[in-house]
Amino acid sequence: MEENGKKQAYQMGFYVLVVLAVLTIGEYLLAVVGATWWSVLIFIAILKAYFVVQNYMHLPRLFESE
Amino acid sequence: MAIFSLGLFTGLLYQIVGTLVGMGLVMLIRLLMGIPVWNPEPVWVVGMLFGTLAFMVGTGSVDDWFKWAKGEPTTDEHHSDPRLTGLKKYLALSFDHKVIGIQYGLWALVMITVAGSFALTFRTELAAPDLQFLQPDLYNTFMSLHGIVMIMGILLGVAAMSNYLVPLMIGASDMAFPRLNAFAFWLNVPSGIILLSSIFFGGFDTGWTGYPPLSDQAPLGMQMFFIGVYIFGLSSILGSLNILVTIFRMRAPGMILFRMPVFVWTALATSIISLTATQLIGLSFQMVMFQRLFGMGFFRPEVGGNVILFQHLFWFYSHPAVYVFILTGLGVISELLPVFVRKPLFGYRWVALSSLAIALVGFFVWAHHMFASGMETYLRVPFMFSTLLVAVPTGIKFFSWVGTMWRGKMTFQTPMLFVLGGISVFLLGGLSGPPNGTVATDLHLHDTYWIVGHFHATMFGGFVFPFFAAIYYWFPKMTGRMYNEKFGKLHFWLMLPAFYVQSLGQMQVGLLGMRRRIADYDVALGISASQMAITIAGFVIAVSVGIFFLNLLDSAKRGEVAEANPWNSRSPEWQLPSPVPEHNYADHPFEVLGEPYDYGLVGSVYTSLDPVPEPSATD
Amino acid sequence: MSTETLKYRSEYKYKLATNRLGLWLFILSDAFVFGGLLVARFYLLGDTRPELDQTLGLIVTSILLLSSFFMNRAETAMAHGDRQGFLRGTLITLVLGVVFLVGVVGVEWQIAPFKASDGVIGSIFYTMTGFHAFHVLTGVIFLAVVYRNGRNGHYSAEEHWAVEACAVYWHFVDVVWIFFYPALYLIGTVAG
Repeated sequence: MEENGKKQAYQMGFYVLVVLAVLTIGEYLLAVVGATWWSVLIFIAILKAYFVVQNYMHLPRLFESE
Repeated sequence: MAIFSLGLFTGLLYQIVGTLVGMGLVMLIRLLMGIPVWNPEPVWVVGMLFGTLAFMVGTGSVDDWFKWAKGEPTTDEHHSDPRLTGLKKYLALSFDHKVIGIQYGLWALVMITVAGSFALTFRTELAAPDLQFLQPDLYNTFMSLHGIVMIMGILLGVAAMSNYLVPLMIGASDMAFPRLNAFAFWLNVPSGIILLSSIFFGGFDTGWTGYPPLSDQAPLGMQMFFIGVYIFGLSSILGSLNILVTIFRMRAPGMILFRMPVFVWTALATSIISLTATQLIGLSFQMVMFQRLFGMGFFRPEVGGNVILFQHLFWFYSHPAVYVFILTGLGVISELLPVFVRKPLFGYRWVALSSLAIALVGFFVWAHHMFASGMETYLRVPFMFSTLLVAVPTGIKFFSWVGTMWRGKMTFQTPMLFVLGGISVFLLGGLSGPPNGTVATDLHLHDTYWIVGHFHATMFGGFVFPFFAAIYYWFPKMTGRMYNEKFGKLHFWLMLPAFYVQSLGQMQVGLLGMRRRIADYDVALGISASQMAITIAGFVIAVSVGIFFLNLLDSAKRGEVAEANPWNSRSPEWQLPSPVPEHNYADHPFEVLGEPYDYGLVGSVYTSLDPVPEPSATD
Repeated sequence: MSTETLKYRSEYKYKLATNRLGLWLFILSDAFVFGGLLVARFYLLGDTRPELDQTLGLIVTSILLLSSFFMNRAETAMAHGDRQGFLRGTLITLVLGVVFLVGVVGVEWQIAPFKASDGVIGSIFYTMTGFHAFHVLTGVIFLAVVYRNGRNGHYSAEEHWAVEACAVYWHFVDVVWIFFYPALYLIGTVAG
């Protein structure tokens, strides 16, 4: 049971990394191609930050009632 | 007890050594880099920073954290050393919020006295036209230090009250993080020392606002100003973090947010400000420090920099900061009025929420300090609107006070006198605000003594008078003894009229052409008599404060032993013995059963500690 | 306070939640520093950005994101009682953190075509990356302390607050870079 919980959590962590990698490559390509629009790049950054805050930092734990 | 075992003195010793070590380190690095070994600026800056770290280690306030890093166990049970009696207790390291609160209070009074002395010095120079004894450079340093040291003194007073009162008012035995509390307090000692040391490094002439480009070119004393304030800001941030966690996590059962004493609401609102906005003044100061140390160019137009950026960053904190000062003071007024009027606080929920509203709106008004700065003219309009808007939640508090006092059974002991005096002075300050918030008039008033009159009135009304009210009021709870009522009244009746003379005088000379931050003025302005009156008023205020100090010192030792609840207050701390036992409510089961301000309502109780009211009791 | 409440308040779970609030408020406060730096960057540089090596930028960014992945693995392992997994993950995170510092301070700072005293470009670049690198450094120190104490058996699946705090702080440092990377490397055109 413990092992299953851990494996699931590991898997979730890996998916988040994949999402972050894809978004990072995306923003890099955008900038390299010359499309340096503020709004899209800021949006991508906010998206990346959301995934880290939600899934790595576990912000929701702060609002859990005991 | 060996004097060096007291936290303060060990800290100071370590600070001296640490400063020398830091200086030596920089000189060594410079030697190895092949550049001239001695350059006062980097050597002293790093030295002072090392000195601060060393001071903190010397106090012992970081010992437990070092133990955690090393994996060693520590205990959460803290007991004070019974050998530390009287004043000695406050010179030593303590994790008790009540001791720390009083330490903050004592250091606040020291800083306020020092700042006041600077004011008396330069006011003596200003009493008559022509330069008598104070040369402009030293004048500028004293004027600048008066501002910043007074601000520090006020924030220390805010911390004193919050630290002492919040746990007691919510039924907690201490703050959420007692070690952090001690750490945050002790930071203020090296901070004050470094700030005041600026006098010996050539002083600084920018005023407390430290604007570049002048602060870029000012003497080394400018760096001491930046470092001192920066460390002070760190203390502010850590202290407010503690208050917030304490309020959210340590309330007694039954103490929902809307049953907390209203002072806790103001502590909550001010802590939100201090936690967040303070970082930006720290950043702005670091940027000037980097300009001076590394040749960076944030605010140097010749390399693409912009001085207005400094002002935006600076005022983003410094305006909300004044709401930290006054929200606390207005919280004291709201807290004390019901007790001395024997009536509920009118509109308690509105008053509580107005504190949050002032804090929120206060974040959006900063550029009203910059109407004349050369920033984009279109920005003036939104900031004018937001500035005038802040009068609304402030007005809610005023109307609440009127409603509370209406048909109340008033008594006029010293705390109440200071509360009423504070209300009248704050009204003066508040009414002198809209001409400043309105762009058309501000362009003429900016940098005149009218502004000086405005903020002294708001500061005295919003903080200083309530601070004295609070000290007198809670003195019996802190010490178990009563202060001398006659001398308390004398303090008030000297201070109030003197302050009116000072403030109205400042406003008048400002309207007649007296500029800010100048060491002298032209006799042709015709304001010499007013300037003399302002100076004399300042000295009268100083005398009144001297009476206050003597009163407290004497009463602490020989005052009449006070009963536990001389004011017949419903607030939880008054249901405990005086002085408060070390762990507050640990031996007294404590629950909240009713509303905090139902004065005069027969049969109502607030907490389970309340004595059961007799039907025939006078209330 | 009633004795039940006193007992409940002294339980580990209650203190853990209190510590968590303290940590997140600290992070909220720290975020304002970086927010201020971002404001300064856009106020002074506007539509322009420093001339920087894009490959190096992508590499250091990837290293930091990867380090967050391993930090998450380490914390997850500890939460499930897997001490070896925790130690492995923590060590890898630490190493990646050091590599990041080498990449930024050791390489980027040396090859950048401007000095700190070269006007606003230099000022903004070195201050932003410097503040961030300082936080990475303190994060690395935190990781080293947690690693050592973890090796000595100080943490368990039920009680590992230091690990959680270290992880949250590390991820915060990563989130800052998530905004600093586009602000310095991607948004705007290179200054003339």
